[in-house]
Formats: sequence, C-alpha cells, structure tokens
Amino acid sequence: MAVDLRDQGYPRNDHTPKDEPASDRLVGIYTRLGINQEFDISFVGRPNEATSAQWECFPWAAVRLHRPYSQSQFLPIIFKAEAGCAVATPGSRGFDVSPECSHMNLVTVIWSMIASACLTLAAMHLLVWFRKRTAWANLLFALTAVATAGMAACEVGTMHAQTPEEFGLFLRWFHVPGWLMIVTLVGFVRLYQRAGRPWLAWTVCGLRTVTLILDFVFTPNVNFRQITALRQISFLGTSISVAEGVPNPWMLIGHASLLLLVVFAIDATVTVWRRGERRQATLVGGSIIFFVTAGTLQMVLGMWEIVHMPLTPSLLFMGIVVAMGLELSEGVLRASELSDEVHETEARMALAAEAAGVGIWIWNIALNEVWGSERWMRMFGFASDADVTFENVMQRIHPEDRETVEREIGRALAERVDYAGEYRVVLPDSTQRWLTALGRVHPEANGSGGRMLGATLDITGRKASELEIAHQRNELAHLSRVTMLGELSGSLAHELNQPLTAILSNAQAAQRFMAREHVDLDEVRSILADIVAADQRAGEVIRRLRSLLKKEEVHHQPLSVNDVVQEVLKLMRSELMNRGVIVHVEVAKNLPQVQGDRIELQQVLLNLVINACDAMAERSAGTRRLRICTELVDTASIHISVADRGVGIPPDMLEQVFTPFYTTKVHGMGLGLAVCRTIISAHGGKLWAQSQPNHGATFHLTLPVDARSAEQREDKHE
Amino acid sequence: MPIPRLLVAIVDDEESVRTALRRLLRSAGLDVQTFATGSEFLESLKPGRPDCVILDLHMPQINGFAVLSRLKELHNEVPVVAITGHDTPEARERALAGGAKAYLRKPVDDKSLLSAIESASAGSRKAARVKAKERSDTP
Repeated sequence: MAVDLRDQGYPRNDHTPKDEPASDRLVGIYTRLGINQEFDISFVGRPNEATSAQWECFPWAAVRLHRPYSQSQFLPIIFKAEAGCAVATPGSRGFDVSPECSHMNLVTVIWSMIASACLTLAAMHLLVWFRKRTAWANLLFALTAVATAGMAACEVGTMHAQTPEEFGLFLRWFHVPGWLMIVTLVGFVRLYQRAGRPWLAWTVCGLRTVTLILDFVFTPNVNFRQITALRQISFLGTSISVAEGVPNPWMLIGHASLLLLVVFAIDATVTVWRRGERRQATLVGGSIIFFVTAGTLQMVLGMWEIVHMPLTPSLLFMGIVVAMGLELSEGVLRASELSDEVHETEARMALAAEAAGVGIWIWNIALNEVWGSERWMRMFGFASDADVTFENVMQRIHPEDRETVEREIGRALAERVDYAGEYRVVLPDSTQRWLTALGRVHPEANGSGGRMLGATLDITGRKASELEIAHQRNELAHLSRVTMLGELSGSLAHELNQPLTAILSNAQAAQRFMAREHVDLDEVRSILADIVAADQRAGEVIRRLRSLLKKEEVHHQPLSVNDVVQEVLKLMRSELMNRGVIVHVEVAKNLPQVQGDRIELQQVLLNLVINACDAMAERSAGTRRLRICTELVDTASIHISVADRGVGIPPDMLEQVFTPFYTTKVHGMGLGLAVCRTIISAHGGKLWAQSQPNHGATFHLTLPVDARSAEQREDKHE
Repeated sequence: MPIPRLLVAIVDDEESVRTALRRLLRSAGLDVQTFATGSEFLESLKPGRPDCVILDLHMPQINGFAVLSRLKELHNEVPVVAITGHDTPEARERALAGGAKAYLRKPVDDKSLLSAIESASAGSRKAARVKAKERSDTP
C-alpha cells in the first residue's frame, strides 16, 4: 500500500532545483539505500515533482518497495509499501529521507538486541524461579536483566530524542531501571555469592533510592538542572542526540552510589576468591567491578561534558548480565547433566527393579502422596494412574498386619531409621499376597516432612513354602510332643489321680457325716473347701496336658523362661519322683522376657528333662541329680542349661544326637532332639550339647531377649 | 471289755489326700494316724499298732516299696493296703509280692477301701486277740 505524505498534513518542500532532475537524485538515493530501482521499486506518486534543493531535503514521495528493507519502532514516519517500507523523518523543511534511516540502524539494532537478549534471559530465569521458589538468585538475575532491557529502551529514547524535553523525560525514566539494576545486583552478590559487607550493600541501595527520589523531584531529572539544547553527533554511523545543559550537582549522590557499588563488589570478590571459588570471583566479581567502573566513568565524563558521548550503560551492564547468566547457566548446565544422569540411573534402576520383580515407591510425607512404579501399583492393586495416599496403602494391608506396619513406619520416621517389614495385602478381588518392604527416610533439610523411599517385593511364593515348612514342622513337633506325653502317661495319670482321690474321699466322707444324727457343719464346710481346691488342681493338670496335646498354630508372645521351667517341673513332678531324680533349680531373678511359643518351649524343656532322666536310669538312687539353670547372657539372650549325672555322650556323638531318627532308646523314634533344635532355631536361638563321658551331659540353649522387654528393663535400671 | 477301735495309719506325701482319707476313715468309725513320709511312719511303729496301714506307693525319697521292704526286714506284720495313682501291672505285682495285703488304684472308692482294710486287718485282729488271750492265760 502506498501512502501519499501530502495527505498526512506534512508541509511540502517546493525548493525544486532545476538543474538536477528528480530521477537522477532518486537514483543516487537508491544506490545509497542499496535499492535496485529496476526491480525493487515503482513510483505511485509523481516522481518528476519529487525533487528538492538539497540531498538531505527530499520533499515527498510515494514509492512502492517490492522487498523489505528495515523497520524501526522508534522512527515516526513510515512509508508503508506492499512488501516492506522505506523510512523518512519529518525535518524542518519537509521530509528528510536519509539513507541511514532506511538502512539497518545499528544503534536501534544493537540496543534492541540487548533488550531482547535481556528479556529472554529474564523470562528463562523467572521460569526457573517460578518452578523453584527458593531459587532467589534466578529471580534477582531476571530482575537485573529486565532492568538492563529497560535501561536500553530509555537510552535509545534519549539518543533519538528530537527535543530537549523528550531527552529529559527519557533520562528521568532511565533512573527507574537503573535503580532496579543496582539493587538486584547487590542482592545477587549477597545471596548468590554469599559475600559483600551488609552495611555497604544497604548504603549502596539507600543512596540509589535517594537518587531515584531526587530524579523525580528535580526537573527535568537528577542529571540536569536544565537541558538547553540537543546536539546531533554521529555514533555507530547514526545521527543521535546528546544533551547540552547545566549539570545537577545532586547527581553526585548517584555517582557516589556507583562508586560504593564498585567498592562493595571488590570486597565481595576478594571474599569469594579467598574462599577458593576463583572462577566465580573472576567471572561475576570481575565483570561487576569492570563494567560498573566503566559505566560510572562514562556517566561522570558524559555528565560534566568532558566527553560528548551518548548514555550507554546498558551496553556495559549487558556485560554483567552475560557474566551472571554464564555463572547461573553453569548451575543449570550441571543440573541438566545431573538430570540426565538421574534419568539414566532411574532407567537402570527401573530395569533392574523390574528384572528383580521389585516395586519402587516414594512417599512424600508432607503432601501425603505415594508414587509407585507400575509393578508396585500392581502389587497393591492400584490402577497405574491412581492418586495414592498413605491411607490408601494402609487400607490394602491385611487388618491383622496393619497395626504392626503403622507402628514400625512410625518408629522409622521418629527415629530416622530404615523400615523393614513383611505383611499381607488384600487386593480388591480379595486375593491375598505376601509382600516384604524396605524403606529409608529422607528428611527435609529443616528436619520436617521429607520423603520415604523404598522397595517392595512380592514374597507370596516364598511365604507359602515357609508356611508349608512351618506347618510340617508344627506337625512333627506335635507328633513328638504326643509321643513324649505318651511316655509320661503313667506319671501324668498319677498327677490327675491325686486330686481325684482327694475329691472322692472327701465327698464320701461328707456323705457319711451327713448321714449322722448330728451333722458337724464345720467339718462339712471344710470338706467342701478341700473338694474345690482339689478340683481346681485337677483342672490345672488337665489344662497343662491339653495345651501340650492340642494341635495349634505357633503363637509367639513375650514370656518368662522361669515360668516355663516351673510349668515343666510341675508336669514332671510325679515322673521325677517315680524315677527318684533329685532336681536342683537355679533360676536368675528378674530375667527379661523372650519372644516364644509357650508350648513349644515347654516341649523342648520336657524333652531335655526326660532325656536326662533316661540317661540317669542306670545310676543308683540318690545320685540321680538334675540341675536346671537360667541366666542372662550379655543382656541380649537368655541361657538355659539342663545338666544330668548320667552316662554322658561320647564327643563324636555330640552333634549326631540332634539328627533325626538317631536314638539310644528302645522305644524312641529319634525325633525328640531334632525337633527341639528346629524349635529353638525357629525362636532365633541355639541348642547344643556338652558332655564329659561318665560325668553326665549338659544341654544348653539360648533364646534372644524380647526387644520390648529389654527396653523396659533398661528403663527400670535408669 | 470293749473291743478297741481299729487304728489305721495313712502314709501319703500329699496332704490333701491324707486329709481326705483321714476324714473318710473317721467317718467310718476308725481311728486314724497320718504320716507324710515313709520314714516318719517307720519311726512311729509300735508293737501291735496300728492295725492297718494305707500306704501310697509313690512318694519322694522312701517310697511305698521301700517301706514294704523295711517292714519285712523288721518282721513287722502290720497289714498294708497299697494305694497308687500310677497304676501298672508291675507295681501291683511288686506291691503284693512285697507283702501288701491289698492293692488299690487311686481314686479309691470308700467301700473298696473299707473292705480292704477290714479284710486286711481281720487276720491281724484275730492274731491280736489270740496274743491277748495268750497273755491273759499266762499266770
């Protein structure tokens, strides 16, 4: 589209020289503009009238350009053309179409590039700060870059100012990004470099703020009391404006702030250098010192008109921005490399985890979000895209295991120790799986919240085998127990018959007393009390027998070893008496409890006592002595020994006695000691034999102390 | 001269059994002595007393079999009714061979016990009466 400038109300220059045809002068302009007249331009106005007296004075023209040349937002009048534009500025005598205007204006290009580069960097680092709000250095850098862009814009404004007022206005607004630039620079040094004296920082910022306030107090600005005229000078091949006028002495405050900024930067750089971070000191510290010094010199020299040059601090501060950007980019680059490494590690880990059948999970405690790998989600029966919380996970855990899992996780969090546990999960389709999990707490730096990372493995198959083995062991243990009790049946019958005798005889005596004319009621009361007591005793015997005979799942619970010893001695009382065995019991007082199955531990002790009695059968009466001792060993385990004065065991048979089907008894199955060792192993303990031939044998067993009982014991001691 | 009541000794290590048997025998009109151990009983022996002993075979230290042996050694013919809560054919045979007049299983029924005492002590009373007569006939 072509625009006829006469229609825009601009005056027409009528100084048309006769000596030079317009077409010749246009050819000259086109040549300087680099326009190929033949192909690139066509006139829509009247070219013959478009002539002027001087080269710099071109009255008007309406041209159509067929390819783009340049455009600038800072130049007011644009000849719009179909494919691009030629540019003219209104001059005092019409329109000055200067070749520079149509060229790529170097000042505009450079300053625009500075602004664009700064804004791009600012956007990038602002995004970084948005994503990670603790990255204050990135925010400060973004603000520094924005300030530089703002300064660049104001500088271009001053350079292209047409009037002193316009210049003054752009210079006044220049101080706003200038203030932001200095304040953020100081902040960057303090926060990122962790250097610089605070009082200097505050002084610099304070002086700069005062300068900014004064800038809006004075007219036209803090730099000039008055701008008398604009002088056009050539800068980078472009005609630009510089101001002439009366400098404002208050600007010395601004200059002082810049000088202090240099001092502050030097001090900070020395600190960083001494700290050993020399690259950072050189790059960031060095650039701040150099460019701020250069900027300050330029401001001072320009203001006092020692040199005539335009205001270009943004060009200098761009150097600082680049240095800071490089420094931060180093961090971003490292983070990116680390991210790549992490991704690679994650991929490897996922591959390894998948191959090993392990599910990976991360629990963000503060947000209560559980992330799990696909396998982990499948293990718990969650959809792969489900949002999972800790409570969701707990709901999947078998009700019988839930409390233990919650307690153990709570302990891991409180004590910052690793979690390890085995539990069952009930999936939505009611199938049950056994899982084992390991977790590690990663607390936040401030000690709160944090995350727990872990791995979970499906052990249903292993557990089934274990349960089958345990079941078979229980069956065998039960069989062994029943066999053993069969051997004791006579003694046990005696134990039961004693209270039954008391009951029957008492009752029959009472019947006889009651048949008399004078009933002695006191006697009858006494008889009834004895019957009750005997009945209770019989009940006890039956209960003891029943618990040993019944087939039940193993139930571990905290129990006292001394109680187990006493129970066994009660059961064996009659047998020991029959066999004429004298028992010495030496039990340690205040023993901590052990975790165990009462019946199984009774079985082991019964077995050892019966074996001891058998071993002494050939000994003469009065020498059949059995010694049972309990004691605490190194606070972690309890030691029980059963020693006899029998024939003893040959040294080469000390281990063999624990092998299945090994027996020296006529009617023995040879399972007793093998089963005992299995039981004690299942309790986390050990069972072994010692013997001096002909001086008897001693069977030793150790059982680990119940952890909670040990803690209570320690508390008591404290 | 009234016939003196039978004196029966009970030897059992369990107090509840001793007490119950004592009550039962007293309710049947017998005089009763009780002993917790075999040695106590053996130390208390006097000629012609008691008329009968109810002896538990299973006791600590000196058991019923040892008491029977000791009585044999002392030529004391006090009739013994052996009782036991640990009944085996061997024990029965051993007790009877050891001189026990009767062998009863615990818990023991009153009729069985009293009848055993009666039959065991019958011979001894007859003998006692003969001995008493001999003494009275002797100038």
